[in-house]
Amino acid sequence: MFRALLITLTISVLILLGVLVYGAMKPIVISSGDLGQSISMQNPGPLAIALVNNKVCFLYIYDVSFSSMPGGLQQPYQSLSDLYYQEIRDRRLTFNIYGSAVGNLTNSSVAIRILEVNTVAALELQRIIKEELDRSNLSKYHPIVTDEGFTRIVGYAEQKSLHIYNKCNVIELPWSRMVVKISFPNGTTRNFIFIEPLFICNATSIPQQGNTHVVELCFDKDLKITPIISGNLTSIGEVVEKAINASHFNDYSTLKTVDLYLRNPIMNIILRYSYLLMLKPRLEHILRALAFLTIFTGFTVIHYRFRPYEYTFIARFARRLRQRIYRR
Amino acid sequence: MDLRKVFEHTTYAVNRRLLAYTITIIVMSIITSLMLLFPGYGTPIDVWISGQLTIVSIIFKILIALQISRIAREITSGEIQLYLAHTLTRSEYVLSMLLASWFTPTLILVSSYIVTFTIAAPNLVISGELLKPLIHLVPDLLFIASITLFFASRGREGIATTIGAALPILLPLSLSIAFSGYMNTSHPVYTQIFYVFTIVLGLMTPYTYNLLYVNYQNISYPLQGNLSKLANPTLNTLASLALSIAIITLTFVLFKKKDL
Repeated sequence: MFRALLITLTISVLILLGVLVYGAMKPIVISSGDLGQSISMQNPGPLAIALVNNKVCFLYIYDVSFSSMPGGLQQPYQSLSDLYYQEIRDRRLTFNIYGSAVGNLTNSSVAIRILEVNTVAALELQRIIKEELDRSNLSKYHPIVTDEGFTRIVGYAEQKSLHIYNKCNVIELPWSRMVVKISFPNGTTRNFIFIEPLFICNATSIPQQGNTHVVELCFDKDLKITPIISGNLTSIGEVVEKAINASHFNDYSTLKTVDLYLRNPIMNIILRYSYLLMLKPRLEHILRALAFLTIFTGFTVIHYRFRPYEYTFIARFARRLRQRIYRR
Repeated sequence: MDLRKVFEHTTYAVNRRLLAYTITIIVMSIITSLMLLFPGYGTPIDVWISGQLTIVSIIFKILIALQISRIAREITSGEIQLYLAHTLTRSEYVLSMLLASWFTPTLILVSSYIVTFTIAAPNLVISGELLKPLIHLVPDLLFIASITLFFASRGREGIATTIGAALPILLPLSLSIAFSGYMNTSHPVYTQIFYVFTIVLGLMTPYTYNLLYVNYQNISYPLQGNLSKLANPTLNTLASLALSIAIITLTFVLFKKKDL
């Protein structure tokens, strides 16, 4: 009975050890992916708009949660065993912002910064924005704040930021060039070439505690923009001034027009979450398995000393093996 | 009863079955090692263990049933006369066969499981989380052993083998259906029928009963109230243990009177 127990336990540990050693040599990729998520539908409008020096700046806050993804917001994987530890490689969250503008857009006419802050800082930031909006009282309909207020908001975000990303490119895609025939009231028509370059800004971060991205988007005040749906070319600075004046005079017609302009600087945001989930055994488990193997082998030897007749099959097997080798 | 003789005959019988035990443990170790690889996202630990243990327990139940049914062959072939002629009494023989065919595989399963998890997750063993399903599994294995032993000791190898091989699969399956029916039916007559089936089958496979009970306890169900009317898994396991002991006692009594 003891022989059976010792032999089976030795085999059991030996198999586990084999799997562990194999796993140590060749880590197992259990899952990998590149998950994209567009948040354009929920794309909230800017939380703060301001005329800062010669620029018009917009501030957005995006709370990114990837709770269902491995290594995302969820707690570290509660494994049954800690036999194989999970190693997430190449885990990154790519935050791409696509925007549109019309006219001679260059890298210098648009500036985007993405500041990554934690949830607490994001909540505090929202409180500061609300405070500044109340204090500024520039518009009843749009979140326009004073330049001092905006500087304070951004200053706080900078102070609390875990990372700041400045990598932004202005890209002109072939399909963004449009020729539009516009008729004037006097009967004349003219072809307008609308160059609609896209600006793309991306930030690559590690979603450890859930990332809140604060996006600061600034255009040159004189840059002409157009809403996606329709509208005339207007400089962005002018749009903000109109929005402030229209709010004071309850000019709803103007408000309706400027609203379209102010909502559209950011067309879309696409998040890509890529990861590689690997499993690897720990050295301590291999050592533990080796310790058990030594114990069981030791006990088997002791048992053999006491009851050698139970192990005649080993001698028999060795004899047969010897005979076979000898015959060859 | 001479326990030394029982031990010697048990050792002899186990050594004859060593190849079967070795193959089973290799299969079990491979299943356990591989299943440890797969992460169970969001799966509670007890449920995850149960899934793995269910497969292993079915294999061991079949092994136990096949090994015990060999008693019937020894009876019909007359081999038993050799053991009973000078060395063993009938009780010693049955006890040693039970130890060799039920106790040893159970000991191998339990100890191998504990060793594997001591290597993999010692905290789980220390906290006793791992031991919970084993408490229900051991009586489950004993029930299969007792039923097979009953028929095998009557010299019915065919019935013993068939029942022993079929029950490990059919019992959990039938209990799952009965349990599900009981939890999903509001019709009083059907509920009563499913209740009786659940109780009876639960006695035969306490491990599956516990598994289903815990599962239904963890999920919110419209007929959750039905669960409280069922017996507690621990109580069910104790009742199953008592039933198995009663069957084994009956087997001993009948075997003593059997004309060999």
